[in-house]
Amino acid sequence: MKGLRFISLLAIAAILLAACQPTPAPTQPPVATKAPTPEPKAEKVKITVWFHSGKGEEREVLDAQVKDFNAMQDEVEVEAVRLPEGSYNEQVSAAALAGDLPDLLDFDGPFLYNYAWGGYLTPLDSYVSDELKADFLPSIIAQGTYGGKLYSLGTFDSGLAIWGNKAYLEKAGVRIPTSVEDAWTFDEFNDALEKLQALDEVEYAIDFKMNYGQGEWYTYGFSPIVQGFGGDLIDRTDYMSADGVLNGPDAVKAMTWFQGLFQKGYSNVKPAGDDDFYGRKITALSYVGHWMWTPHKEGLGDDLVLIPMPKWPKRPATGMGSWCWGITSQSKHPEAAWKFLEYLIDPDQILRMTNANGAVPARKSALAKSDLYGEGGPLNIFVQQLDGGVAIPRPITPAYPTITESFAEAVQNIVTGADVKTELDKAVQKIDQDIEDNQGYPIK
Amino acid sequence: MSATPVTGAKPYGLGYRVRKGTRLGITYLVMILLAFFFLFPIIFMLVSSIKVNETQIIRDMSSLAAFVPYGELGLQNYRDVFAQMPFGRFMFNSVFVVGSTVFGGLMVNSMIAYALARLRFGGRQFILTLIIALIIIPFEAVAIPLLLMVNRFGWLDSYHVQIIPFIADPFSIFLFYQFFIGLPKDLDEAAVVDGAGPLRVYWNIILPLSRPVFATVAILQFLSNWGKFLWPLMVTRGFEYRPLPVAIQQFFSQDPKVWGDIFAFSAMITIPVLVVFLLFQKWFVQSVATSGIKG
Repeated sequence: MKGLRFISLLAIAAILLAACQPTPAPTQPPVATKAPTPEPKAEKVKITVWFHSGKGEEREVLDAQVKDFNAMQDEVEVEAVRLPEGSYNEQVSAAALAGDLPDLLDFDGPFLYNYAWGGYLTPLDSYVSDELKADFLPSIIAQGTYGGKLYSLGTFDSGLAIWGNKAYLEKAGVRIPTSVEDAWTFDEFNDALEKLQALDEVEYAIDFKMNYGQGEWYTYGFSPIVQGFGGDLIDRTDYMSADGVLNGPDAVKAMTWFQGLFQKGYSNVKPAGDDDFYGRKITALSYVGHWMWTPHKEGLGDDLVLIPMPKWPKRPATGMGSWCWGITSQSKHPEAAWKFLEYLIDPDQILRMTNANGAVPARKSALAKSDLYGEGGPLNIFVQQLDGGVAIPRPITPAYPTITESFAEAVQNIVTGADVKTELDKAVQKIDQDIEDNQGYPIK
Repeated sequence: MSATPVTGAKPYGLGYRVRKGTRLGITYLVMILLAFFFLFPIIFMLVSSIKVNETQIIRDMSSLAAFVPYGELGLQNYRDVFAQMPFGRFMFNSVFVVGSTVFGGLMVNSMIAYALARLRFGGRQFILTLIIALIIIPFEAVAIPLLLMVNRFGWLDSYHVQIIPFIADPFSIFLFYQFFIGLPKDLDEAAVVDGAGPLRVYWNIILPLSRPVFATVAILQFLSNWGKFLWPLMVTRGFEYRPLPVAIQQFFSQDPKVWGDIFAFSAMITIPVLVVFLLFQKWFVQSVATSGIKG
């Protein structure tokens, strides 16, 4: 079929090229988009689903879920397309422009606002009952809401905290907090860093995963520090400017403290690899998310402890958000797309996914059944942070892509010794410029 | 850099030889340094692609050790690439798309250039000016209108959407044109006297005389199309038609990035480029040299 189409289109192209003479233009453009397919009698609605080719386990589970879904019912046929993650956002934007978006797609949480603002997504409110909504972690709902409407649901969330080497912590005489309530105070945290740094085994007190490089990690990981000090990436009252917030005294103080950790040698700007904490064991703490559970557990065994995010000087803050699903406004079969999404957010399907990728299950009913995240589970602290208001969603604004890019660049320069205020000013200028260029991203 | 011996001194005396030797030595030193400068990225890539230990790759990155194959070496990274994705499919897609574009381009562009250089028809000069003017328009400027157009045709996610828009290329036409106007007209006139039509003259006279320019255009077109990223990113979706530069994006996903795999993939993308260049190198250099003389 494709081959025939190719030849026919080649012919059309040749005719179009040759038809430079002022002959009457063909009245009917060639209808090549939809080749006549034999319609089956019991009509199955076909929907296209795009998802990013992330981790291997995630891919495998999703492939299996698509297969199972197609087999278990005969109303909807899902055709899944895997796109490379590195350029996923660009591909979605190009497809949106061409009017070629699929029915359902997944995307990294903070990109939602740009998509929703651009009109690519359709609200899910009519499909999601209050009861269902209440079963989701508040972070998932917060991440999926823009302009008062719910646009996305994730099957999992992420968690950010500090992993510790129990042997080193005990040797240094540092208290090990076990719940969000008794998290380290900021002074305790600084004191712990100092004591851990003094140990012979420890080269760097804390690993900030700088080996991940400049990118989304910087915003995900380090904007909570700015927020904890009282600053933020943007003024969230109206999302119109970052001035005075991202470059205000609180933010400057936060990033100066952060820069100081590298300058004092408490952390390594250029780690040689990923395993300073769990392999070489030259760092006592590792500031990173839930996704490091398996390597950490394998490397440290019973010495591994998960420590909640410290109580920052002004307010609690940590990272959250992950990939989530949305139905596009270009979908001709939103009901069918919802049917598949409904299947994906079923607690058992959520657990199937999170057991494979290790992420935080998005629904409370699934969490209760999770060995890792349930009550008393080794990773329950992440849930406490997500459910207890510690986690802060990344800025809910279509300007997010610019915000994250500018902030990540500032972080990169700051950790390598640049002037904090100058770098934050630069970031603010870029963000404000973007907002101005888009007339403040008015909600249409 | 005159090589004439200094008058009065012995032509090949010790001083002269020392001076000449030193000069040669410095020239070589500069050339070697320059060669390293250009070769380093390739050596870095190839060496890193065979280092099995990911930590070692990262550790070596910021030092000269990046260029030294040591430690645990092997083809594991290459195996990983094949295990993670249908690399063969992507390679075929790239080769097919680029091959078709280059081959189609050689035919179409050389014919256009031949018509412009040899045939007499109204508006010829205007068309030529227009084509030259088109050279300066970057692809990015027309990418979005082109995307909307091909979408209307229903061409998205196919081979032809990656081939057809790039067959006609103003720069190639210009190169062919420059070459063709330098060929002696007597040859075609003799052929015309013998009864040859324009197509026969093109095929039997012009084509055999123009191998260097065909090689040059082929190499330039191959290089620019092989690395093409933006367009295939916009118009391809699944594995079926995805070319290599888009496929590599799969590795730039979750942190930490596995550099060994990325280098192995990059090495496999680069090798065909080197092969094509080496195959056509002789003609390429010849063409560049002669086109320089013609001015």
